[in-house]
Amino acid sequence: MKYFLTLFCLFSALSTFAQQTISGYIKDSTTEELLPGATVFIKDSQNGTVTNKYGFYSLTFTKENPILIIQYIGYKPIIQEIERKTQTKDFYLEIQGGEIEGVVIDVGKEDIIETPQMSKIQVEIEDIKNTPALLGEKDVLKTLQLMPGVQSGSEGQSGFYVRGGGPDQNLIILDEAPVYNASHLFGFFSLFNGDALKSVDLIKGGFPARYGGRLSSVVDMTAKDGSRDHLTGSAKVGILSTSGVLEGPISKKKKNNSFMLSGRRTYADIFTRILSKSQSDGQESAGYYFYDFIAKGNYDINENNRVYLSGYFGRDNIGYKFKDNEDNEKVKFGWGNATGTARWNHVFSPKLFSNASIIFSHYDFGIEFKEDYNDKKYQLKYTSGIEDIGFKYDLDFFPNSNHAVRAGLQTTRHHFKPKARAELDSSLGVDSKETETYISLENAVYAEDDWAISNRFKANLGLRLSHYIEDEVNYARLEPRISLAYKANETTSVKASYSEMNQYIHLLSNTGASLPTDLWVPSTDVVKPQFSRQFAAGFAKTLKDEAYQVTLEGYHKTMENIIGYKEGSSLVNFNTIEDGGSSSNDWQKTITPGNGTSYGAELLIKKIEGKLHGWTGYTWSKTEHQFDELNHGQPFSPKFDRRNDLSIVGFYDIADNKTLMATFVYGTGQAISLQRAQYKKIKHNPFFKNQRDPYTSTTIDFGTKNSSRMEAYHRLDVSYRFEKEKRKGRKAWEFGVYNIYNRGNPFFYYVDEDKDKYVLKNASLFHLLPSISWSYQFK
Amino acid sequence: MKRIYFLFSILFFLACTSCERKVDIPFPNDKPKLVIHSFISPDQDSIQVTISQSNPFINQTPGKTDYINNAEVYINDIPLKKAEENGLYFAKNTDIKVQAGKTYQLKANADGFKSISASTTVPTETPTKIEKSTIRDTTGSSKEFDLTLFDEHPNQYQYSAIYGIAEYTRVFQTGEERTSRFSLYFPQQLFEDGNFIENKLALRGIRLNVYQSLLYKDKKIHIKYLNTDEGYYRYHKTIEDSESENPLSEPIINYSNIENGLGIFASYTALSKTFQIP
Repeated sequence: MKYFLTLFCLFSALSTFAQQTISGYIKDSTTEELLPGATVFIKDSQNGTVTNKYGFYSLTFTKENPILIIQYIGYKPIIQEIERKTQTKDFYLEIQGGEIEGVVIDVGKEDIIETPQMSKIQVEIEDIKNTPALLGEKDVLKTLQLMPGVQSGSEGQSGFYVRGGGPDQNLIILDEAPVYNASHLFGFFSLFNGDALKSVDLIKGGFPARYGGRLSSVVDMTAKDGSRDHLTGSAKVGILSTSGVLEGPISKKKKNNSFMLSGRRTYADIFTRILSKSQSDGQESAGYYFYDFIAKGNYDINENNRVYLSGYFGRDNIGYKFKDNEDNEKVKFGWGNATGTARWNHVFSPKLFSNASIIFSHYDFGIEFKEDYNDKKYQLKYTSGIEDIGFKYDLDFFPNSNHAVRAGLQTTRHHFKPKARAELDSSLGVDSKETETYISLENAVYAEDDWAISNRFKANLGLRLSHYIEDEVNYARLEPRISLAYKANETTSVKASYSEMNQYIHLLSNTGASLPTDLWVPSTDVVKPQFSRQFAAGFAKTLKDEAYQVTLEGYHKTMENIIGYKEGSSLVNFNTIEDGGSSSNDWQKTITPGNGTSYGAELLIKKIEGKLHGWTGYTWSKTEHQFDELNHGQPFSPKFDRRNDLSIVGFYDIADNKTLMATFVYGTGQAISLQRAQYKKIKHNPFFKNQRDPYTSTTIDFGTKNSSRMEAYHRLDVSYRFEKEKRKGRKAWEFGVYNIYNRGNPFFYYVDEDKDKYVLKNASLFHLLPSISWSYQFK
Repeated sequence: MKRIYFLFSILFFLACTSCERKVDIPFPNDKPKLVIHSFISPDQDSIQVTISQSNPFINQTPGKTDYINNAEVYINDIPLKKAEENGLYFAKNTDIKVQAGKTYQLKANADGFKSISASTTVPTETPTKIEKSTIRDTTGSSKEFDLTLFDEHPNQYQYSAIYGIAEYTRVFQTGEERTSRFSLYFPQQLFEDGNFIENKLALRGIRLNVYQSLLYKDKKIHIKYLNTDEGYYRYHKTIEDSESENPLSEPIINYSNIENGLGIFASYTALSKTFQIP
């Protein structure tokens, strides 16, 4: 590492010759929240830069006393002349318009014309808060599903599919910590409370070398740092949950620190417990709830050193109790994530910024059953999960105005626990414990350069070396990453990218829904790492003085060694658990490797100004899988192969304090294996007459795998928000209707008998569902 | 533990707003098809082909399937005769000789159906040694034994299957003798090369209901070990998998090698063994 730093410093010293560098942070003027993605440009030149994830910028120039323009969407730009000798300077941007000071932070968008990065969507936190949502629960991941190239799974699910990849191929990170099961309530709600977040970036392709470990997407979320100026916060009460955010300085004296706390809890269990007790004469009690909690603190040691500590903790719990004179029974069923990140930002020089992180992530799922029956005891505890501990070190180096280099290393120790089981049975004298664990190490080093080759031509060139060890298995792969952009004129740029990705850990889930029973498992000598190659090309254009942004991209992705489930196998098998497990529960025998291909075109039109704003996203795509052991080796459409996917999201500001919001989504029906025909099934047996086994029966012809389609999915959601200024803040009421035209979208199909005939029936969830919520934003 | 299923059902607690309705998914190309079942072998004295038809599943009576008695069936362009039995067509081994290593083409047509075709190459005989363990007592009146199969041509990729019966002859006081046969159930019936470890595969715990009475004589075990083509293996494997299907699992896609139709046209060579039961 020393040599690495020395080289950087040497390069830095050489390149400073005849050039001047200014660096510092871009912050919100009131809360001093650091603003990632803000642009810093020298007036009348192509020389500029963008703040990194920590709000840090570094700009090298040769001009005498240049005039800097600092811009950030939603904030008033700063235009300021800089004396040539200035080396460090922080800029404080003021929120534009009628927002409450220090409350709303609009993270805005990157300049889509200048950056070579393509296939990236910066989701505005305001858009997450404004988008109508199921039961009024604003949801980050469901807002992402409204973007082109991102598809939802079944009705109401927060799991998502990016460019033909499965939900297991998305790297979801919160303050650099991976989150392994990002949903509550069996996938109907995501973990993340939008009120606590500062930025959400989704990358679908053209992955910078700093990201790795999953094939299909990166969702990079950063929690708010918290206001350094004064104590503030918000509270929200909805049908399903109550949530709140509190932020402010830890110590007001130096304005060099802050904290942010965010929490949410549902309360359906309060009613279900009362209901179940009343219906069972007090013998039974059942309830379900989930909660999540984000905490973050930061402290500036001095102007060159800053430390952060952040954590997430969330859990779903289902409980059931039964008690009578003979029997006392308790069942607990719970799952949850915990993450923690400790970070240290250090500025070596105006041109060299570093971040060191220690990262922890834990996910577990467990069932506990206890029964006392006539003095006999039975206890069963089953858990599974994954726990990571990792270290990450990143350097941002700005040698001159044409290069922004990032390099770093990462190491993560994965501790997989697919199965841990303990059983106690006093009547049979059983007291057994069984644990299956795997430990693996995933490492990576990377380097990338944002290179302004000319005023019009920019590139991001990167290389990542990933390495993985599990027991005696050792994999090392080089992953080239290239993104190119050519600026045809001030409003148009053409882009292309190529990236290779490897995924060393796998999610076993054959239900299609995000169930807590899904298992993360390692690559082994039998289960190889997944690999993808993606090529994308497109253009970005702004129209009407940047009031509209249009991007059109095409992509082609191939995937190797992706995971499939052998026909007839299932991971959800409680009998197996109860019976002590069996070889059928050996996950390596349940899965089978295969390949996939996906290609498509994505159009995103955003209107970012005016009373009516929002976006339209349309995707045409085709995804095909081929597994030697599935569908008799023939290619087939995976469930989420969706030819057409359309999202229209609109926000209409009726007045300063009244907003009407609507979302319309349409998607081609899910690919499914449906009963197409019935016929006699004759088994051969050489000992029987005519070689026929006499026990013939009728069998079902499903055609080829997933050769049928469910009905198309579509719905319209609307909501209306009314805000009122109060002495100490602003209160808001929001009324929403999910699925306003009461469409019975398919959740699953099943066969029933009706008048001695088979009929196909559709079960749908979430018909017209109204919601109401009240929130209060403190000043 | 059943409570867990109850708790799992909380997944659908929001389903209080859900509803069900009948759906009609059009399958415009799904017309009834000819369904073929035929397993040919040099071991058999005739070729038999059973022909039935598929019927739509949705909006149909459960189990509705029909034999086809008006088909024209050819193997290597030689027509097969119609048997009296429903849907059965045959040719004697003297008319069409089935030989190991040769390929046979099946064609059939019937009014109202697309013509179908299929082919199979009869596997060459791969000598396999079969060893039987001694028969031992288990619970109740049952006994059991083991079989060990030795693949004597390990470099030749092969598919195989095993069938067996136990045969007893009962002698009545009148002097009348009546032979009864019972199927044997093996822990594994279908094999591919990967199942053989060091060219050996052990089938343990094959159950046998042995009648110890003096009234039974000439007790035997008959084993047929078949070298099959790939189609035979895949077809029966999907049947086997579908019989143990978990309701939460992906549906089993039936194997078929019949072009424009359904079912199977497969072949095998057989090795027969008989063991006396003491």
